[in-house]
Amino acid sequence: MNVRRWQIAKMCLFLMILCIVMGAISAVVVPKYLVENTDWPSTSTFKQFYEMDEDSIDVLFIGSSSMATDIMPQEIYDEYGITSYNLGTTEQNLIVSYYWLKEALRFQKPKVVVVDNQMMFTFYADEELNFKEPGQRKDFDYMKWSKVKVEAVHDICRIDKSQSELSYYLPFIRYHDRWKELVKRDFKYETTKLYGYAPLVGETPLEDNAKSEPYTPLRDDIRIEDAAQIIDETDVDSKRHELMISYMDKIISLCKEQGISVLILSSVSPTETETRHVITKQFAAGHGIEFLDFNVKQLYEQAGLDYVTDNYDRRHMNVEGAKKISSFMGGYLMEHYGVTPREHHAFEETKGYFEEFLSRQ
Amino acid sequence: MSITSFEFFVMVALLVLVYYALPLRYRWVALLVGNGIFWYKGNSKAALVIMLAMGIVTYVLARLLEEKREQKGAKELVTVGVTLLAACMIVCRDLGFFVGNINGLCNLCHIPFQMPDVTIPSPMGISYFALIWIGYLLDVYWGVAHAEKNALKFALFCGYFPFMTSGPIISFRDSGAQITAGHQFDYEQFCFGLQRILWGLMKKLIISQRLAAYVDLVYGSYNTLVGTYVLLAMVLFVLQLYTDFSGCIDIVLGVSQLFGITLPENFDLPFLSKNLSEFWRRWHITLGGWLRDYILYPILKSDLFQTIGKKSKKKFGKKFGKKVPMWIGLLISWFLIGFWHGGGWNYILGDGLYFGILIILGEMLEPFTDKVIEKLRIRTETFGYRLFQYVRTFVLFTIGLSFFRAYGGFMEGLRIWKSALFEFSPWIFFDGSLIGAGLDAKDWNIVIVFMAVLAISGIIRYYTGEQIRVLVARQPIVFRWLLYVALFASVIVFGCYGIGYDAQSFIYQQF
Repeated sequence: MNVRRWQIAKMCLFLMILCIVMGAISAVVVPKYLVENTDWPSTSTFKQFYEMDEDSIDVLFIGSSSMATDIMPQEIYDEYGITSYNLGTTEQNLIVSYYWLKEALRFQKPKVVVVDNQMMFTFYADEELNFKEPGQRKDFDYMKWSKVKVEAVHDICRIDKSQSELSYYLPFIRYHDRWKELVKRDFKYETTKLYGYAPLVGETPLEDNAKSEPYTPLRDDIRIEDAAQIIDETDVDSKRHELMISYMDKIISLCKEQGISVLILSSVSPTETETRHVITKQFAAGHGIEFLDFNVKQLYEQAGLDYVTDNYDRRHMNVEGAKKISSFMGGYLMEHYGVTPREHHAFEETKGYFEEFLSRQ
Repeated sequence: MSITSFEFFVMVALLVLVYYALPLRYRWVALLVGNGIFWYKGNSKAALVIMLAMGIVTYVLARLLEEKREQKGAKELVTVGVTLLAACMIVCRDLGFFVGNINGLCNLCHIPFQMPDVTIPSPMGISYFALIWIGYLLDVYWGVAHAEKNALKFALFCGYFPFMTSGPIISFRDSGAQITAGHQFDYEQFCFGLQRILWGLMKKLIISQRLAAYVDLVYGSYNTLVGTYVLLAMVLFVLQLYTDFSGCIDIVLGVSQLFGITLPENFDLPFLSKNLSEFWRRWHITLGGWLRDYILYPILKSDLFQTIGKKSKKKFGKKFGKKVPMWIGLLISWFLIGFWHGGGWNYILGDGLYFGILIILGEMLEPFTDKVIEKLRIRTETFGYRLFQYVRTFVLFTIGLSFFRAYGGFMEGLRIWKSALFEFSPWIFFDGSLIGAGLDAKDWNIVIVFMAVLAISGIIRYYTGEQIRVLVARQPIVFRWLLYVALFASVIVFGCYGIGYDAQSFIYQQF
């Protein structure tokens, strides 16, 4: 080997070592949101999703924290035999939901996709992505690299100019400051004790119950025709977020292209107003899809909900509330969307873990 | 585009690939493209126009000077050129300073006149390239350099992108040919270049940025953080400035080395200087060299100063009198150094005249101090005495720099000193008060560890006379690579960059 070739070989080898170092550092410093260290284990939700067998899920739940807390796929399986996964995570905006749906469809062929409506409305008017960057960022760090992630990253950084596209490829750029808070978990962790399956199937179970005032559900007769009278323009929390709605459009289009039914869901919360209800209802009707709002009296009662005992922090459902909504949704999906039960070994094997997990909450 | 940004390094990596892929005689074109990208990214359109206009004028005047060097009108041409470039630099950078002073003077004299505060777009790096271009015109005028005929090669030299943000202040006669020629790939130089970039990033991102957090906090609240907090901030500002500026120069020199270009050094262990004269020969070397070559020596050679010299010799005697024109020349040079650092009296006094006066006083009092040393039988060859000299130089430099850092002006500098002397509070080093003052305990540890690394490398260099990377290059490959990887990992983990840190501006960029 002549000198020049040896030099080039050395440089390539050294460059490879640097790449490995960058990869290793990134893996260590990226935050881990696991069931062991947080109530909102989004890392577990996303990493475990990849553990599921391909084509093993018939219903996919996706959306913000309300979705994350309200749906217990294991509960639905245990009661109805329907296989589902909850890809809802805290602060998940609809751009994230859209790209995670795209990602999910690389591995799964769900019959129904259920999305929540929280992010159709303005949370932070001064934030390009309707939510602060960390909330969105953590949802992407555990997505596998593929064309979907490349497209997602490019799209997000196009919208939010303050973000660095490079920092998604080299996550240490974003997280290197975390060196001060590194713990054993950052170097060595498992997303599940039953490695190979997703025991929580994306559920974010919350046990506590916030003391709250009695809750009055929305009336049943809110009609789209009365939207002009109902919509309160002064209610800043019920303001449509056009960018988010455009991504809700994309979610629906993508599902329709793939022959997947879509359903919009709204969780029980006093923040859900008639304005939000009628705007979502209008939107759903415009796309010819169904909107299930658990704030409406009839549905609230059908599901057997009691907000005072079933809420976690006045915005999210606790385990009791989630069980009721999950139970209702299982039946509803079977009856109205023709989702049929099927036995799946992963769900069978995680039954015990789920019960045990809930018992120690 | 900051020279610590990923964007910059991606650009450099691509330029390196293109540079060495091109035939030798066309390699300079790759650097010219780099210039174009850098100018475009770093300037507003108006600033770009000003810069290009200045460049065209310099190019044309240099060509004319080359033709008319010995002829009538050459002196006028060079005077026009130098004045124009200096005026552009002053107007673009320091118009506010003059407006403020004129308005202040009018107020003082109760003259009902106020000039409007006008801001002219300032091209990136004007403080550096204006001096380089002035030097170029003078060199051509004096016949020590030839005017570059190729306009594109001239554009490459005069706007060579690595030096645009923080120097060094190069000369066409020393570096022009190097920059515009094509270079063969030299593996050793290339590796040294990469190592130097990494070393610079360590200084800038790990040390300087952290020190800035403490210094900015204290200088921003010197009314509440008083006494030793302020004294420590003054000392740490010197270290911050050194690691920032020399780190930047390391990156500039390292990037140039990747293309086979060796630019002059700008720092040479300045904190191991026995006196201020020596210090300024080791700190911002190229600025001192520029002022010596283009201001001080021409002044001393001028008829006026020759006359002053003769008269002073008559009046003060041969030994003392011959120094008088030199001291006047030094005061003018130091005034200009201060003014170049920024349009403000804090810069002119704190970073200019203060040092000039101290250096002149040192020379004037030298016979007296020599006698004192002799009488007290101080052994000047001992380590202890040398250490005293280093500390003395550092303290004197720190005092000057404390005004330099008082961005609010000279009067603020005085107020900061009042705060510093308000109380002596050494307990802050022991009772945990420093933790949380801009830096937490882990940050302080990082600063101490990497300052120690820097100090050790300096001491090794001082005693061996060799750069540490040359010594490391002689070690076995595994040990060497472990060191490089450790430094690389340290920079990417402990460096202050990305969201939450503003690593955009080098301190010297604003002058």
